[in-house]
Amino acid sequence: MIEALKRGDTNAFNMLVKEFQNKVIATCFRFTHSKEDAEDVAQEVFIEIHKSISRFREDSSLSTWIYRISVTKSLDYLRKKKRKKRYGIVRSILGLENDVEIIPASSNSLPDVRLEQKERALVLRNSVDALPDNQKVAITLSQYEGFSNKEVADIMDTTVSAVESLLHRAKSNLHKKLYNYYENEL
Amino acid sequence: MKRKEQIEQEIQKTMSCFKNAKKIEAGPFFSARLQAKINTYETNKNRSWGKIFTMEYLQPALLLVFLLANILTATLIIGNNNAESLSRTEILKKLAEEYSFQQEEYSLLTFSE
Repeated sequence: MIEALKRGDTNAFNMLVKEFQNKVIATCFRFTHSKEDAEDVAQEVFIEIHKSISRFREDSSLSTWIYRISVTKSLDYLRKKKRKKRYGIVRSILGLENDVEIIPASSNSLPDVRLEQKERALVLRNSVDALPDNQKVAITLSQYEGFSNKEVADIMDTTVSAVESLLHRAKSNLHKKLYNYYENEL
Repeated sequence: MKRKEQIEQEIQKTMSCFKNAKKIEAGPFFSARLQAKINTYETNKNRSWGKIFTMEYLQPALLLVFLLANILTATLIIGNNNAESLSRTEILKKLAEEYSFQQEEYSLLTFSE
């Protein structure tokens, strides 16, 4: 498939998009928290793949390379958003930001249980967002996306021991933030 | 101690939300929108003007040229404005001299009893 992609085979590219679009959008969503923005970032990911496939050195697997681009583009999106935020106070006052992650209701859960889960998910999401970038990426890929430490290391282009250290620090920081939060809430 | 245990329980419940995170799927028009963007990119890539603007090493050079052109234009405009205002001042002085508006020469307007 890689050879076909490098030749510019349209069918091969369409197959790649079909295979990876949901996974890329899901990864981007963990950073953007908005489905529309996640799709926009995912589109940028596939355009980058289209532009750069001829330069893909095959020193990692194709999926690892795709996830690496997804993470890079997602972090770029967050940096751009931070710059815009300085001038975007009005948007938030008018409620134009869509930052809420909706947890789907399970068929047998009660409304108050669903609300509690939604609130917990939001607290967790905000705590993850407050982590430094490299810890955020490691914990997102590991905990939200379910990648193994080896897969996370390949995507982040680092060693397994570095990922283990990042995850340890991320979980420790998350624990501190959540502890402070619940200490004030309860 | 009980409070600490309670907090730890809340933390564990919250951390379990990682497993229950929402699954996201592509919208129905994702592929179509992507294809349109790629077509636009390919069209711009093939145009000669488009080629110039997509060549990354030329972009900073072109930006510099535009900046210099703007600075030069602004300098010329400001310089012209100064030249015009000087000539206006000179014109006003000449008018004042011609119509004798200077105080020493108000001989017609002064009178003595």
